[in-house]
Amino acid sequence: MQFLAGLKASELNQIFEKQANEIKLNQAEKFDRNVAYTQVECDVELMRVPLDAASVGLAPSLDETGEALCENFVFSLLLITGTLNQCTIDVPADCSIDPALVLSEAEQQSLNVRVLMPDDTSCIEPVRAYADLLAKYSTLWLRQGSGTYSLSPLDGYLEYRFARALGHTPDQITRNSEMQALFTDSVSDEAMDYVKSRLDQVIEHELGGDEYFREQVDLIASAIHLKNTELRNARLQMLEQELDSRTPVPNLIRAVASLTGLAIPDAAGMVYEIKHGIHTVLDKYLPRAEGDDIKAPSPKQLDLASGIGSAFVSALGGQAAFNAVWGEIAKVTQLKSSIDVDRGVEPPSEIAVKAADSLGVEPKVAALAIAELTGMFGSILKAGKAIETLGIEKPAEVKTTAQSNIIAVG
Amino acid sequence: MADHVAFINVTRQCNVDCLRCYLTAENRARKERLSLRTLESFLNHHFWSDNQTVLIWEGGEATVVGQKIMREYCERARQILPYARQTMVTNCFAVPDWLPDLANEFFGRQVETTFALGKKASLKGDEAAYRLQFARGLNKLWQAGIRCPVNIELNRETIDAGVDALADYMLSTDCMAWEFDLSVNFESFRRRPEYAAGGVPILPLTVSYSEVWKFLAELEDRRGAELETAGISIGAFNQDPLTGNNQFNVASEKRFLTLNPDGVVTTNPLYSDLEGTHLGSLADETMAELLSNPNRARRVLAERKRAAMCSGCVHLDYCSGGPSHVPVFDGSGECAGGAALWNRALQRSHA
Repeated sequence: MQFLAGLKASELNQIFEKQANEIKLNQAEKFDRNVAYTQVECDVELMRVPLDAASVGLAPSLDETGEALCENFVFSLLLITGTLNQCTIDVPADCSIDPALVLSEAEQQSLNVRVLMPDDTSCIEPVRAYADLLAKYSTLWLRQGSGTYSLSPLDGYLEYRFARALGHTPDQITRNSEMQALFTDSVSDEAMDYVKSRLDQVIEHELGGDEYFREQVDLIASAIHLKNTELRNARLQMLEQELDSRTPVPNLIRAVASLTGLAIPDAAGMVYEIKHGIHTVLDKYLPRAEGDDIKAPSPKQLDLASGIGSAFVSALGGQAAFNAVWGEIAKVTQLKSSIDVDRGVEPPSEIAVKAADSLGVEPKVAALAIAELTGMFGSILKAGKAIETLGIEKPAEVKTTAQSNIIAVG
Repeated sequence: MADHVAFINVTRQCNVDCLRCYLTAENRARKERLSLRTLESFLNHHFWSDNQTVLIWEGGEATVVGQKIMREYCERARQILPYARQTMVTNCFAVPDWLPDLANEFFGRQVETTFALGKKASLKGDEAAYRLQFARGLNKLWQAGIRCPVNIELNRETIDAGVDALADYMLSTDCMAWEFDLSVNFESFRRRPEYAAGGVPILPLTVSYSEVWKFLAELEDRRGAELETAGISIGAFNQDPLTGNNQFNVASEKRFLTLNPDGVVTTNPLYSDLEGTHLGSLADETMAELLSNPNRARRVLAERKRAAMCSGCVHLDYCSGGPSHVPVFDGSGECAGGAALWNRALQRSHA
């Protein structure tokens, strides 16, 4: 980056004209934006920004009344902001304009302000005068708290103080090459220390000492922690909701997760894979015949279910006895009343409370998991026509939600 | 920072005839359409992406371009500026069935409209038919759950119709949000255009400021309670010195840009057809070139000078001088910011 300091707006206009002419002569000509024009004096309105400008900093000046900023300066600022992202107000070290006036313009236009070092930092007087000027700007800036623009080098130094409060002392105040060139590279250590100590005084007066920075860091850390906790809780809640809305056996999955120590998505995956594995085996050995309806269950698998159902019916001494036993199972396992249990209308059964202790889940989750497991077994009996219904209402149709690829059971 | 606002005239064609419209009759009859390429050139710039931005789809009447094209505009804009808020100004004359859906999907369930009790008519010149159709369209939006505040242009005819005629009309619709705009006589301006330095148009009013603010004060005093009971909110009556000017285009020259379908760009949407204000065209210039047009900077400066005329006014901090396209004073003893209304607001807040 090349730095050109103290040029006039009329000179920048000429530079642009020259570059534009070069392009006219040679269409292939291109200009890299690698020049930082600093402290540009607005002797006229800056009509065009040089094509090689990476940034332009304008030096403020007063109009003939001495009470307002010069129109050339304000006009040029307005014009540059339409062209360049990097536009600043550069306050020379010997600037005598009321800082409030300059900062007010910066706030109106959301433009950063740079209070620039004197050319000669080897003598005490210019450095002292500069530090006083910077102190005035810094005091005003810290009192405004508007946040629409920054003040350099105060911003870099505040960053440095925050880093120190975090226990890290950076070897350089700033790593920004433009800031280094303007504020640190050519400045003697003594001058730098003096300016820093003056800034420390202002900061101490306006904000506080090291304690202030530590408090702010703590506050920020707490805010981040709080935000993380909120996000984690929101995610967990979302996961629970997805589990309920997108899987047919959410409580069985919760119980498996508790039993195995798996995360909910992994437990869901495990249950899904077990179910999928059973279907794969059944499809391999009891496949559909050619021409069978692929949307309906395989007739051979239905025959198997029918056989299992018949075996139970026979073993229990007939359909009436089987119905009585199944009714009792459905009652004990709260299959029939699972909706009421879910809504909290009916409490979990004694069995569920005991199971909950063993499983390490809430009694309601245990009750519903038992009901879901019973329901799975019941659906085999229903497929084999051993029972007519499971005794529970048909669950509401699963809502179609955006695919999250997290849980895919059923 | 106040929002940066893009007014995008997708067409200037219109299905309503407003005698004092800021668009020329010729452009309102042309079936021009904004190209997606021009839209992209307009939106692909840090002027929008670096700021909180609102995109306002306008015409003419924006809906005449049809659902397919309008949806393409909205989608493309969302791709380019995903965080920008979008809305639309429609004249409510013939609200298509798809507009509520589009408003749901892209406009946060809010669009806006304008209205006046005179000098607005159907293309056949029927003012009564216009008012009937407008109310139907407005109700259609509110009934579909779309909030559509109405900006009433306080023109000569509306004021002459009287407070009761306006209040009765407001109460006859389902609309619950009404605002007020000053009325500019663009027809008269076009007959004899006058510009100050930087292409600042010197726009004539149709009614004096003192009449406007007197009318609003009367509306509030005589019918305000009734309107409030009916659930109608009126921004001008709820001005709060603590929150600043809630009216439309205060201090706007730096943050407003308006795009015409042919690629021409200006600042204020009311300047769409005022050639002296145009910054150039995207057909042969880039956004950076248009933004660095000296006339834009001059107009921002002129706007600041305009506000400087208010120095000494106790309301300046929050009023900011009223709408920036009209003069601060018109010789009637009142001002564009509505000092009388602000005085009432201050009295309310002190009470």
